[in-house]
Amino acid sequence: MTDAQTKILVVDDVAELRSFLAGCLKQLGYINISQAKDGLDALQQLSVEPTDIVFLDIEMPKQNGMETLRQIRQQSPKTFVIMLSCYSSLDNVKEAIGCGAGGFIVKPFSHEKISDALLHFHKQQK
Amino acid sequence: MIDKNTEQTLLAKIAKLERELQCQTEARIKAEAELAPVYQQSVELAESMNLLSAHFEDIITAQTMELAESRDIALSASKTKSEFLANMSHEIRTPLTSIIGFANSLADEHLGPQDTRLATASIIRNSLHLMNIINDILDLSKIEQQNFSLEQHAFNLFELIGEVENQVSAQAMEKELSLNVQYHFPLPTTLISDPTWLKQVLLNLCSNAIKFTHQGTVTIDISYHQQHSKMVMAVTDSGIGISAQQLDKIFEPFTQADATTTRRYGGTGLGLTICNKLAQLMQGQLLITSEPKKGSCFTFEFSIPEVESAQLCHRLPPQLKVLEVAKTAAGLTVPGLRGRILVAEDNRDTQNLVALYIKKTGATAVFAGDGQQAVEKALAEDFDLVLMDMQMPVVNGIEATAILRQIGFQKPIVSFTANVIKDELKKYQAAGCNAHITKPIDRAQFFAVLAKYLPGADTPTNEQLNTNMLDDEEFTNIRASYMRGMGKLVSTLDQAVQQQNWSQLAVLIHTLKGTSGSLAFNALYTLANDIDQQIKTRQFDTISRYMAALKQEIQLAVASTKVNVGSNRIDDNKLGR
Repeated sequence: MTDAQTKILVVDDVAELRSFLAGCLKQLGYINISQAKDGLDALQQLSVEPTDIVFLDIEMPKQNGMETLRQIRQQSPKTFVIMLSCYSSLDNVKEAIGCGAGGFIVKPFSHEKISDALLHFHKQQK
Repeated sequence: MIDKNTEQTLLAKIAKLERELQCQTEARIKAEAELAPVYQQSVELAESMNLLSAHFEDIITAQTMELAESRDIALSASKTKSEFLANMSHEIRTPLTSIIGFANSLADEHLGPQDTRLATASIIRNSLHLMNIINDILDLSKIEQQNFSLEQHAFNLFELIGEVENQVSAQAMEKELSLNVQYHFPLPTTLISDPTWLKQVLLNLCSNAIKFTHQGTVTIDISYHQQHSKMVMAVTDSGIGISAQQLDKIFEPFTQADATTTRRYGGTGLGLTICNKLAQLMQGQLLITSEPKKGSCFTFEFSIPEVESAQLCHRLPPQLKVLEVAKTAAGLTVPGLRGRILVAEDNRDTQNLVALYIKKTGATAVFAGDGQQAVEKALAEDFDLVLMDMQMPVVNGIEATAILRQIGFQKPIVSFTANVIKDELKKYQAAGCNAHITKPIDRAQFFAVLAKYLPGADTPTNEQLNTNMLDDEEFTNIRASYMRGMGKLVSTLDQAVQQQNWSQLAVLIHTLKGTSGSLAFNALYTLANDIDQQIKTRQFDTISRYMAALKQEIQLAVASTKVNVGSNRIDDNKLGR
C-alpha cells in the first residue's frame, strides 16, 4: 500500500485541528483523507468506506473517543486507530492500549509525532 | 565249669545283645544320614552370615570414608570461601577507607585548592578501583556458576583485536610504551567463540602487561595452529617480571606479587584467576613464562571449530585501516550535540550528574522522576532520546519502555542501570531499548551513546524546521482560520469565568493550549499552558488576572496572522472532506 492509497479518517470536534492534521498528512504524502466531527459521524463513515487509519480525539462531546475506539475496534478490527488527546495521563494511555489503540498522540503535536505514528502503522502492517 | 543249660542261656543273651546293637547301629546310621544335609545347611548358613557381615563392614567403612572425604571437601571449600570473603572484604575496605577519609576531610575542613584536588582525585581513583573489584567478583562468580556456558558465535578476528588495541593504546601511550600487534598469517578472518569473554581476557592480559612495564614494548602475537584448531594469543612485555615463587600462586584470587603491588600498580588480583578459568572453559589454557626484571609472556590458547584452508587469510583485511583512523588519543573529548533528552531517573544525585554531563554536550536534559512521568512526558513533549533508569518507583523502566513502544514511540530509548547481567539486558532489548549505559557512568561510554543518537551541533534544529513551516501557505491559512474564531472563543471564556464554570473553562483552555501549540502560536500556547496549570491546581483567584493577559495575547496572535494572510481566505471545507 502506498501512502497515497492509505485511507485516513481524522476525527476531532475542532475544525481547525482537523484541517491542521489533514494538512500535515498531505505534506507527508497522504491524500486520501476524510474528516469527521464526532464519534458517531466517524462510525457512520467507517461503515460506508473501509479505512486504514483513524486519528481519533479522546475529548469530544456526545460520545468520547475511548467509547468510539471500542466501537471502531468491533466494527472494523483491521483499522489502525491513533488516539489524540490533551492529556498524556498513563491511565489514559493504558486504557487506550487496552481498547486496541495503535498510537497515542498528545496535543499540541509536532509533524514528527504524526510521521512517527504513521511509521509505527507501517511497521505493524509488515 | 559251665553247664550246658547256662551256656545256652548266655549265648541267647549274647545273640539278643548283638541284635540290639545291630538295631541301634542301623538307627544311628539312619539318623546320621538324615542329619547330614541339615548340618550341611547350617554350615552354609554360618558361612554366608560371615560373608554378609564382612560385606556390611566394608560398606560402612567405605561410606564413612566417603563422608569424611566430602566433609573435608566441604570444610576446605568453606575455608576457601571464608578466605576469599576475608580477602574480598579487605580488598573492598581498603579503597573505601580512602574514599570515606578524603570525603570527610572535604566535608569538614577548609582545604586549599591543591588539597581539594588531591582529595577528589583520590576519591575518584579509589571508587574506580572499587568498581573494578566488584565487576571482577561478579565476573568470577558468573563463570563459576554451574550452568555458566560460553556463547558460540561468529565474529571478525581483526575487528576484535582492533577494538582491544584501541582500548589499551591510550594506556600504553600515557606510559610511553609502544604497543604492537603481530599477526602471524595465515589466520582465520572469522572465528566462532565467545567474543565478549575473549575480549575481556585480552584486555586483562594487555592492561596487566602495560601496568607492570615501565619502559619498552608490549606485543600481542596472534597465530593459528591449524592442526589442532587452536588460536594462540600471546601478550609479551618487557616489564618487571614474576619470580618462580610468585608464579606458583598466580591464579589464586587476590594474590599479587606482594602486598605493595596493589598500591603501586592497582588491579584487583582477580584478573588472572578469571582468565585462567575462561581458558579452561574454552578448552584451552593460559601459560605464563617470565623472568624477573626481563619481562613476561602470557599465552592464551583456546580451541575453535575447524577452519578450512580456503577460509584463511594471508594479509590484513582492508577494513582494519578504518579502525586505525578511528583510534582516539588519550583523554576524553566531549562531543558537541543538540537535542532534547528525557532522563527518567528517580535518584536526585544521578539526575544532577547526568544534567551536568548533558549540559557539557550542549544538549538539553528534561527529567522524569518515575516511569509514569516518563511515559507522560515522552508523549507530551518532543524528545530526541530517552535515558531510562530501569529500577524506578510506580512504573518501572521496562514497563514504561514497553508501553511507549506499544503506542508507537519511535525515538531511541537507552536503558540506564547498574544492572549489567546479560539476561537483564536482553529483557530491556525485548521491551524496546536500543542501547545500554551502565551506572556508575563511564563518561566515554555515556558520550559515545549520546553522540550515536543525537544530531551534531551543526545540523539544523527542529525549531528551525518548525519555523520554516510558517512559510507554508496552507499552514498560514489554517492559522488565520483558527484566529477568526477567537472572538467567539473570548466571549465564551468570559462567560465561563463570570459564571465560575471552571470545568467548562478547563476544557476551553485545554483545547486552546492544544491547538495554539500545534499551530505555532508559541506565546499563546505558553500562556494557555500556565492557565491550565492554575486550573489544575484549582487556583481560581488568579484566573481573572490571567484572562486579561490571555485576551491581549490573543489580540497579538490575531494581528500576526492578519499581516500574513491577505486575501487568502480558506474555508474549513476546502480541506479534507
